[in-house]
Amino acid sequence: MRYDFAAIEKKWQDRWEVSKPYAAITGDPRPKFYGLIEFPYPSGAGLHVGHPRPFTAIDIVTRKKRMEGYNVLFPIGFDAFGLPTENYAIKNHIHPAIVTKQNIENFTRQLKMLGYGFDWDRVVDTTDPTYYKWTQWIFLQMFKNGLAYKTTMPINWCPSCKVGLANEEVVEGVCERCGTPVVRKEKSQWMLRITKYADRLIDDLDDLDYIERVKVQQKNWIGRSTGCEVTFKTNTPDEITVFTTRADTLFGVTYMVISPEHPLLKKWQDRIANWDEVAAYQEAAARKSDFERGELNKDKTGVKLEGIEVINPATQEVVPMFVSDYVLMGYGTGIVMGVPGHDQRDWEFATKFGLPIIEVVSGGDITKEAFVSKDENAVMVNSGFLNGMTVKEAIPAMKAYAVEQGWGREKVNFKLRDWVFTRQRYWGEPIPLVNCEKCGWVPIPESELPLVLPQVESYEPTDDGESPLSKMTDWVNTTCPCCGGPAKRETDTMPNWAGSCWYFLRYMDPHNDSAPVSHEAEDYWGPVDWYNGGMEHTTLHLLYSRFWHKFLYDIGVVHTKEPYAKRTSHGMILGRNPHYVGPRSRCPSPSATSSTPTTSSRPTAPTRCACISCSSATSRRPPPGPTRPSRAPSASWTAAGT
Amino acid sequence: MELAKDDFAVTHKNEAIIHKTIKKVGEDIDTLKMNTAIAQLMTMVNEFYANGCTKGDLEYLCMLLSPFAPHIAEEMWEQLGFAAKHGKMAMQMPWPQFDEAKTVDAEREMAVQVNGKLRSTIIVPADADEETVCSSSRPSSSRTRSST
Repeated sequence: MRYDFAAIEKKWQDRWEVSKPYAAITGDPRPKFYGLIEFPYPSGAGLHVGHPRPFTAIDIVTRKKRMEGYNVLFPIGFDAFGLPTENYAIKNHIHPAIVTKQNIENFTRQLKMLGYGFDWDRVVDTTDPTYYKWTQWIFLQMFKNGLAYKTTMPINWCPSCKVGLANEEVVEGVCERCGTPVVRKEKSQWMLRITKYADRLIDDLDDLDYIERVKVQQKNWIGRSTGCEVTFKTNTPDEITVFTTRADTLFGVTYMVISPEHPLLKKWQDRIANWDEVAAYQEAAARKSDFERGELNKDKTGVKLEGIEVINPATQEVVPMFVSDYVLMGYGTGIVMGVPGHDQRDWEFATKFGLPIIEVVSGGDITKEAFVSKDENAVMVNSGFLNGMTVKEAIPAMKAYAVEQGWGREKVNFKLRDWVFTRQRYWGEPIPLVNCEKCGWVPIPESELPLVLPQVESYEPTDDGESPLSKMTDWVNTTCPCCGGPAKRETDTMPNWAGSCWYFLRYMDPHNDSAPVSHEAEDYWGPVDWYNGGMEHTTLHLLYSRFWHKFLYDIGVVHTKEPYAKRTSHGMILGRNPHYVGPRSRCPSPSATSSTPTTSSRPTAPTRCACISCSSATSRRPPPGPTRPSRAPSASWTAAGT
Repeated sequence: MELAKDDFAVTHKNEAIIHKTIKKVGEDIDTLKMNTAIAQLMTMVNEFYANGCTKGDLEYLCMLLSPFAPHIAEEMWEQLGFAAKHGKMAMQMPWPQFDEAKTVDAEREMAVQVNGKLRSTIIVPADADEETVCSSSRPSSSRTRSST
């Protein structure tokens, strides 16, 4: 028999369109099953192989669940804010909303051709004002609860592209797109206090059915370590503090290292005999990204601070201090103690600068490499009262001693940083706050949401790196909702990670105009029973959305602590696909960016799954691999992206 | 489909493979092992060709295929008359249940070796005792196939 698939598939698709066998019914007495896939960024290129792979898996699962008698919710939507669409709009002078609409139509047509069992009456589009009204509403609740704050921080800045770059977009000090040397620029940014949820984001993983490597990556990314803060006296009036998880090795400290950005350096300028050399080093370090300084930093560099001496509180011995860029200001205190016998980075640094290497834990050969073992055979030597103890015994013993002596205290430290939540771009959710000279930052009344993106002439960022919205004087100038005086609107927009933080809730109740989701719908459908998506989202979207969900739980919007009961992850499809665009020839059209932009440091270009925010966000992804070095977390998500 | 007998009952010989396939496909979907689920469906279809099959056998194929290939599953379902019979699409049917006892083969193939050399293979009932097997293995047995 001849199978005329073109006619037969169309016939069934048409029937399903009318009879709606995939409709999910809120409140139905059957048991519910909520299967979720990461909603796509609607690029101009249409679907690629990275889409059907995860979609088909959950499509099969949910089809079986329906036959098993479940009331299935298997929804689809579009994560449509993002840079590729904006760039395409700039180039072709078409409003990004029009481009988005066309792309969504194309995606919809293609997805229907594949015959997926989506409930098409629940489609969400993150750029639809009826959707981003609630994204803005959630942001306002965060602001009101002290989780959103504005601060100034240095970002990577490309003077040619006029845009902030993520760490991964900076390759050997130049802009990955245009080759212009990147500078560090102080910019005022909105931040979300994800660090406040760090403990819960780790602890609540235990009860979830996530594949193990997702749990491990999230835990490593958050990077909780319990250690000790130790205060050192110096030959200046200032005391310095370091964070360490290895207080037991204090007798092995032979030098100290301070981050090039540390404010004490400036304060000590007159005391540092070789200030010119130090200043030059600071400048060179400022041109490197955190990523280059951390992960890629194979050859240790640094400058000794002539004239500065530090006193080891355990031994009262005087040790020298260096400035080196392998210490980041953002982690711990920005100063570390150098224990070359028992930390490999310190060992490399000490070897290069000819510093003494003291063995304080026996069991290894510190002339060849640092001995880092903490097992039962690792026994303390050359360490005064600690001698003979195992490392496991010595850590708490030294901690107790330091506390008793008054120069140490227990401390929990995280690698996780607060989340930079603004972009100087047009095509994103406007931030619904105004700045009043008298009242400061004031939220606009919730009745005025959504704060809709105004029509602008040009979508390009300004020369000084402000959002194109900043040129819209009529829109910017407003009145303060608090005192009625003149005020200015925030002109930055939200990053394209915002809309995907809560989309799975909107699917439960997509047409609600009085709440992000009704209690009734959320009680019925929550949590997501099975979420299948890419490993590359583990420490970005997956973590961000868990954070938002926990906040929504705290303010009573949702009834579960966690959004997803089960998470499975596929790998990325490797190999160059026909859409591959090399890192230096990246075309800013939507068609070029959905699938494969990559950094030149990776030998094989992964075909990007274009799920949540991939398109413009590939560059904000953390480096691959489950762990990061302890002192230099790749601050990929703290860097301001585009 | 044209080869299927116009009978809504399941062929006895196909019963074991059908039950095995229901079990295997169900378990594989739950663990996202779609490749082995498809392989099992292919094995079942091959047995249908070998044993002959009825519309009743294909009813199971349509339901098990439905999550993977919904278009062709519904088309077959309709052409075989099941849409009319049940008043439902295949995707709306209850997921087939398997009987653990029937997932066991009714017969087993065994090798007959003489002095370490393969002489023939025999097919015996799965629950055959030693005596039955031994007697079946003698050359006089009508069920002996000569090995090549």
